[in-house]
Amino acid sequence: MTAVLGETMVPAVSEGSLSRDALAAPVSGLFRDARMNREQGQADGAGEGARSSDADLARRLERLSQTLDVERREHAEVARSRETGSASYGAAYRLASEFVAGVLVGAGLGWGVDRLAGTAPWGLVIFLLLGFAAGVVNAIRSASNLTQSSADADGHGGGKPH
Amino acid sequence: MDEAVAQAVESNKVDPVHQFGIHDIFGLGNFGRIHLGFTNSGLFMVVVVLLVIAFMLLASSRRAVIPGRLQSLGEIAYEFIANMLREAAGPEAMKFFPFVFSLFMFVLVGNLLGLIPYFYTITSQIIVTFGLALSVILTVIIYGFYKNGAKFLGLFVPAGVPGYLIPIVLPIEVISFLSRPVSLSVRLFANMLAGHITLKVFAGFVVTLSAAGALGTAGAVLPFLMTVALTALEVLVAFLQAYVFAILTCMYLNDALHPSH
Repeated sequence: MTAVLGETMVPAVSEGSLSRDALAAPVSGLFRDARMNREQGQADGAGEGARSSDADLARRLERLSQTLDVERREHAEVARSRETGSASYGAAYRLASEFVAGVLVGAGLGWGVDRLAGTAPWGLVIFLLLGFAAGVVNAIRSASNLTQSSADADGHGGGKPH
Repeated sequence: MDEAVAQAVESNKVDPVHQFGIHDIFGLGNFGRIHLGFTNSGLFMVVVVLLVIAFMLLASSRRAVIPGRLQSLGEIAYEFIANMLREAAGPEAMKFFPFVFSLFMFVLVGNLLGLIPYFYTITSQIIVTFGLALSVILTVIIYGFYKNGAKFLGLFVPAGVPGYLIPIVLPIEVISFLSRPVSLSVRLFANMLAGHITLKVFAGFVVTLSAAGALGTAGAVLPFLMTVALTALEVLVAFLQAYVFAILTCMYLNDALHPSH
C-alpha cells in the first residue's frame, strides 16, 4: 500500500500553493458519491470497474481515495489527540453505566423468574450474582476497547479490525 | 422584594424537576384505558426532526465544489459518522449509514435543543432513549440472524472457552447482551436528567440568594458563575452523549456483521 501511496500523493496534493485543508474539502465533496458507490459495490460483492470505458476513471478514483484515506487518518489522529479531556469523561460514564446495567438486568431477570416460578429469593440471588459478573465482563470489555482504540491512535493508525 | 421574584423563588425551590413534566398540547381522546394526546414531548420530537431535515436539505441544496458554511457543516457531519461506522464495523456496514446518521442527528439536536431555556429535553425521558436503544438492538438481532443464521448465537460463546465453562459463561454473556440496550438508554437519559437538574438547582440558588438583600446579591455571583460553567459543560455532554450513542451503535452493528470476532 505504501508503494502505491508514494506515487499517488503527487497528483492530488502538489497543486500549487493550496493548503492541504483547502484542497481536501472540495475534493472530498466532489468525489464522495463515487467513493460511496464503489464501497457499496464492494459490499454487495460485485466486481468494480466492470465497464472498460470506466476503467481509467475507476483507477484514478482508487488512487484518489487512497490519498484521501491517508489524509483522513492524519486528521483523525490530530482530532483524537485534541479531545482527550472530553474522551476520558465519556469513558468514565461508559464504564460506570456498563457495570450498572449488567447488575440491573440481572436483578430484573431474577425478579421476573421469581414471580413466574415462585422460587422466592433464589432467582433474585442467583441472577443478581450472574448480573454482577456480566457487569464486570461489560466493563472490562469496553475498557479493553477503549485502550485498543487509543493505542491505534497513538501508533500507525492503520489496521481495521476484520 | 417584589411579587414576581417571590413567585420565582417559590417555583424554583419547590420543583427542579418541573421542567420534565409532560402535558397534552391537544388531546386525541381515550381508547379504552389508553390516553392519547399530542404532548410537549411529541412537539419537540417533531421540531427536532424538522430541524434535522431542514438542515440537511439546506446543506445539500447548493452542492458547490467549494462548500459554503452550511455545506461544510453537512459534510463534516457526514464524514464524522461515515468514518466512525467504517472504522468500527468495516466498509460493508455503510448500508446502515442512514440509520446511524439519523440516530446521531436526532439525539444530538434533541440534546442541544433542550439546553435552550423553556425548551423540553426529549432525551431526558427514559422511554424515548430506551425506544431508540431498542431499535438498535432489534436491528442487530434481526440482521444478525438474517445474515449469519444460527452462527449469530456464537456471539454468546467467546472463542477459546473450554466446554465445561460454557454453562457458566453462557448466562453471563446473555445477560451482558441484554444489558446493552439498558446501558445505552440509561446513560443518555441519566446524563441529560442529571445535567438539567443540576443547572436548575444552581440557577435557583441565584434567585433565592438575590432575594435576600444586598449581601445575598453579592453572594449570588458564585452560583451564577457555576451556572455559566455548567451550561458549557452541558453543551459538551450533549455532543459527547450523541457521539457515544452513535459509536456504540456502530460497535453493536459490528457484532451483527461479524459475530465471531
